Amino acid sequence: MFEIKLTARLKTVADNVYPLAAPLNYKSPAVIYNPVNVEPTRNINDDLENSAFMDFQIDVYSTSFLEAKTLARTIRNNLKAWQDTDVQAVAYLDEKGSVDNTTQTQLFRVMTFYKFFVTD
Amino acid sequence: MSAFTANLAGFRQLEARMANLAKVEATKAGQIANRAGASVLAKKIRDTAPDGPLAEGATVNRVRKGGQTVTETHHKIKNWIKIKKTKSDSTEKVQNSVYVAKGYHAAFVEFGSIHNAPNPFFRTAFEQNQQAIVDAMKKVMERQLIKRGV
Repeated sequence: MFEIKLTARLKTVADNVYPLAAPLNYKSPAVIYNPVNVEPTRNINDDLENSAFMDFQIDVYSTSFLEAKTLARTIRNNLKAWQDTDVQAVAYLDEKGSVDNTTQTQLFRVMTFYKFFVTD
Repeated sequence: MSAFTANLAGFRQLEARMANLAKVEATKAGQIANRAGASVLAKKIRDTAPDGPLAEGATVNRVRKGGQTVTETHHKIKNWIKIKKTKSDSTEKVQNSVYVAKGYHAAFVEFGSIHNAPNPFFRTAFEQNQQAIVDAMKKVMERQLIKRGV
């Protein structure tokens, strides 16, 4: 499953990696990834394959904007170089910055968007 | 996030027809066609927008930072997907924006927050209906040009 590989990959550059949402006792800087669109490929019989184009939103949250920005860039450079038998292509799509005021602590957030082509 | 992808054809013929119109009429036709595309997108977003249990106009209490509680009126996202004509950066271009007029929580739903996963209803509607948007614009543009005799 791709998410397992993505977690392992992100953990090589960030200590606190969470799928979907951070727990209440999260540690900062926090990296949260979400699949936002999955398009499985179809074979000649029109059956769904395990390979797919997957769009991910990868967010970095920190109380320091510079820390969030720097980590987001480290992740981008790390993912850009990622290619193995199951992850055949990685495309960086976009980046947005924002402030998350939904918790008592104000958090800076760098949202990045990627498209992967994975075969498992 | 992804590029706009749709099948487009007939620009040479379109340009020739538009050249026979006064600029103000060409702009009007383009604006109406552009809005038709925006209407398709707005409808698709309404169809995919989350619809929670709270009714439109319901009173909700929200706790602000520091513990202060404020009473607010709830607005359903799907009821407030609107279109507005926006100023373009060129006199050769018309544009409309599809936006959420009320319902401050729409951005939290679309992009998530530290403790909430995103539900990208807006982006999904856009990405899945690019051809439908272009087709609607084409259909309305054709009608507008015929109406103007070109």
